[in-house]
Amino acid sequence: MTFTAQYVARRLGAAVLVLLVVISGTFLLSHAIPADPARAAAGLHAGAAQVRAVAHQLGLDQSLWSQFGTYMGNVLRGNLGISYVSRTSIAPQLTAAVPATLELVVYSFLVCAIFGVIAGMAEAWWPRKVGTHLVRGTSILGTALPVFWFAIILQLVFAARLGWFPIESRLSSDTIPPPHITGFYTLDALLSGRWSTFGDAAVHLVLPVLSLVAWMFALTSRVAEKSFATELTRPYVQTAKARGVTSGRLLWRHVLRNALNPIITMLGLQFGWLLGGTILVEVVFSWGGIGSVMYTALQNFDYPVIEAVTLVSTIAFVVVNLGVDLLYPVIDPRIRRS
Amino acid sequence: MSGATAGPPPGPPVQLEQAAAAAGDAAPAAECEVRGLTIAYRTEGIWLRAVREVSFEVRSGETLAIVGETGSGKSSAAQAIMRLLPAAGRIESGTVRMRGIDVLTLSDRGLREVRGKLVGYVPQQPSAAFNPVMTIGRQVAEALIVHEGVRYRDAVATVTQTLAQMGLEDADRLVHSYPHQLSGGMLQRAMIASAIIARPRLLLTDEPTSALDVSVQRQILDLLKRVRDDHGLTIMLITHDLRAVTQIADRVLVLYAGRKVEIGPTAQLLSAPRHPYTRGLLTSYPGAGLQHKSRLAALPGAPLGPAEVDAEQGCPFRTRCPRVQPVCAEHFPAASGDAEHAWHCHNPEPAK
Amino acid sequence: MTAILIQPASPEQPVSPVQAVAARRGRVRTVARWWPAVLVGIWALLIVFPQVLARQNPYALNPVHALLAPGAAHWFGTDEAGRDVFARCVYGIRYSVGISIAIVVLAAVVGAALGGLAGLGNKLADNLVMRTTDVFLAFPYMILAIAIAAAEGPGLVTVLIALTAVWWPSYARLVRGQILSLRELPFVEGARAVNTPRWQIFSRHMLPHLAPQLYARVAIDIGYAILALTGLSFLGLGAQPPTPELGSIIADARNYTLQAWWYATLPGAFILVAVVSAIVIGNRLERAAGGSPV
Repeated sequence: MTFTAQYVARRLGAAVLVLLVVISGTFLLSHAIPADPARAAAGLHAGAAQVRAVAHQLGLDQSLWSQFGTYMGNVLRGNLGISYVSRTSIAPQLTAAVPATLELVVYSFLVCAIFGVIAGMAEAWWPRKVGTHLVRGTSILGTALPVFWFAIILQLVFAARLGWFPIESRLSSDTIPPPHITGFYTLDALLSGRWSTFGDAAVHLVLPVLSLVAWMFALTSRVAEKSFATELTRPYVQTAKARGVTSGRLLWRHVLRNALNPIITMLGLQFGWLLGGTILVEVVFSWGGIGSVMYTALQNFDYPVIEAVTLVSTIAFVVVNLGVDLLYPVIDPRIRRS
Repeated sequence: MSGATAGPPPGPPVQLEQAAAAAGDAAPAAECEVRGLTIAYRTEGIWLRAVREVSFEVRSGETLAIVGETGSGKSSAAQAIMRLLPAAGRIESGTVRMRGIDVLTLSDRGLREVRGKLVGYVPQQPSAAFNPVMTIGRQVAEALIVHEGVRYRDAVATVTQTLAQMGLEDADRLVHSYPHQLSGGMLQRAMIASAIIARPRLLLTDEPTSALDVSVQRQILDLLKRVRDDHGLTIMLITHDLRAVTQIADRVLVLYAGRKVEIGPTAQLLSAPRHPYTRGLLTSYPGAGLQHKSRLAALPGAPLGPAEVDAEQGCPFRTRCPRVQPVCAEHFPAASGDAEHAWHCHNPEPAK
Repeated sequence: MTAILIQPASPEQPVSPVQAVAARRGRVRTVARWWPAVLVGIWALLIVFPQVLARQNPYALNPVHALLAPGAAHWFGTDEAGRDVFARCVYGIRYSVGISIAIVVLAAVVGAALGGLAGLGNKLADNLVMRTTDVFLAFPYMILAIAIAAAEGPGLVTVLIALTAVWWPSYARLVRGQILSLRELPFVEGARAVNTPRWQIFSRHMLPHLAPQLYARVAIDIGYAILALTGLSFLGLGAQPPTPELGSIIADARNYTLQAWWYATLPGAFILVAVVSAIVIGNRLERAAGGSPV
């Protein structure tokens, strides 16, 4: 097996292990609830017999190990349990909500990554211009921004007062969602040629994405700037300049690939933050993704749902970090030894 | 991009060959002429001069060695010629003329034409100077791609050929390899290939032998000689290795603490140096196989730090010079000698 | 751009040759070192003596004066129960900042202890601690905090536990990493050679080296902890009514955003100022410790 194949296999193996641990961890968390889950499920007014019946129904009267076994088996088959509140299966509920969150997350991530890297590159290339001090100052402000508050401000100023953008939701109330292909309203609308729907979906995305990007952008551009600045001091840059390359060629063909390593590491970690921030933003904009689902579950003490959302987001986090790990050999041939 | 002074407004690319020819009709055949070059570096917030008022010329077809210890300013001088100083450095004064063209006032566009096409640069430590994530082939081809507008695909043949000419076996495979897969000696050959591939007139090599084994050093010097003779190159060789100087250099420029100390034909400098520092260099050089690191252990005193170098009014070598006089502290000596062999000393070694 | 502090020339404080040249050339900039301490002082004052700034009672219900716009009497206006928003903010920020400090300090202490154990202990201890941090770090931190807080039941104590649980692994990793590199240094080898007990090596020899970097990290993390804490409160997991806490204040305010813009927006400014102070202090500490600002 080549080294790269070994590397990939090892990373995949580690990811699978982590996933199993995460599932176990979530299970443990759910059993740390002080409240009696059976009573919570049965409702406050249920009698003792009813509570016992519910307990039996939910399998809560079995040993911890067998409960764990059932849980693991269920999760691996895609069964995420039953909501205490709605008494229906959680998995379909989440499956409907995931695309909404995914659309928000993907756009925020892309905008932040692309503009963050470009901003960092610009700042490293033209240091100490007037703009730099401004950027550095707003960068601290950006990092210090409470996401939910910023979202409310955006909503208040640009939606409520100025009316440039809608206040909430993914689509206007009189717009019909496009046919489901990817789950992304924007992509689906484009793919089915519904331009006005695309416009509506896009305009609804602006404020939520902006709220998420503001915080992330500050950090991304700072890491990018540091990485580019470090790379620009490396000897190969001088050598390339000595051959007469233009700044553009230098930056895009020489420096970028070298500077990417710490940037994508950080983007991978930021994804974890993004998941948390998305919940807050979804609450403010009534987005209807898994963040909104989580919020409702929190308010209703619907533990199975809370657990399920935790599991799903963590799995996503693990997958993204796996992706980042697998990207390294692609960018840096030194890791590719075969 | 430090050192970029205001130049002519961007327009059609400077027709370097024509300009050189026009200037060349009236000027002497100097490939490169440096006058009064002063370079400063920023340390702890202030600019300190590391190279002061250095003047010399490199004549067409000759090999000039610039010799000095670490901190003498020799690498800075070479980098300054191509305006490649790091961000913390800048050219404070002086002129650099390449066949009559003033390099220091060139626009960015003109400068890019000089680099790679008129002047080839072989930096120190090729293992660090190659981009680790690009193949050797692409980097060697780069000067061609940039200056002659060819695509990499079309340049591969030339690259392979050049690499083979440098003495590299298996050039077809090397072209697709990455720097970390090659040895130091192979990288040095590849670096030389990348510097000459666009057929420059002047080759600047910075310490081509330092990072290599003794056996490989000889091979690289022979390669440089071959390349020079095949392509009619003028070479400016920065080194602290006197052995290399004897093997390849026609003339030698000696720098100490940023000052020009002596310049002259190699044979003359080696047999009858006039400056005490040059003499000191030679006393630790009996022949092959010696490292030059401790060559000044015999001299008393200590080398100067950057602040002292900048502040020095007189001759910087006076703290270690066996022939020091009171006048040496007052002002830096003017040139003595002639156009062939010159030195700056108040109390030079007697002529032989 | 580094600033130079020129000490007055005196025999006990030699000036470097470069600084001497700089002084002679008259190009010197001095930088005041005292402002982060002043900042800390102001915040300490605010936390211990909120009455200094907030003249009104944050708990006083006054339904008649509900949702008044900001004015002379109420700088930030009033909320839906007629309480002075500014006073609630001042009292609330005490919780936000105070608990965040507690969280980070606790996490740092626990993390450093476990990191030290991992770095200086045997292979088993190292593996145990590292695998545990792996488990915690596998979860996105906010999600984990939410899950723990939800499991324990909402409240400020819960949030404290949840965020400390989320924060300690990075300190453990940091300290362990530093110890691994410090372990090879001669002075540690020397201490080991004379059989110094390991905990002494840690506390007396290594901690002084780690401390500056740790302080810087703690300061910045306090800022991030404030953001996380207010976020959790916003979701309803933190302070419960009537305790004023900035996140929950903003959550309550959301219902009245259109009628009373000041209610939702102005408290956020408090959070912003607190976090910016923390980050700025942390950056200063980081520069003093020899790193580069975050």
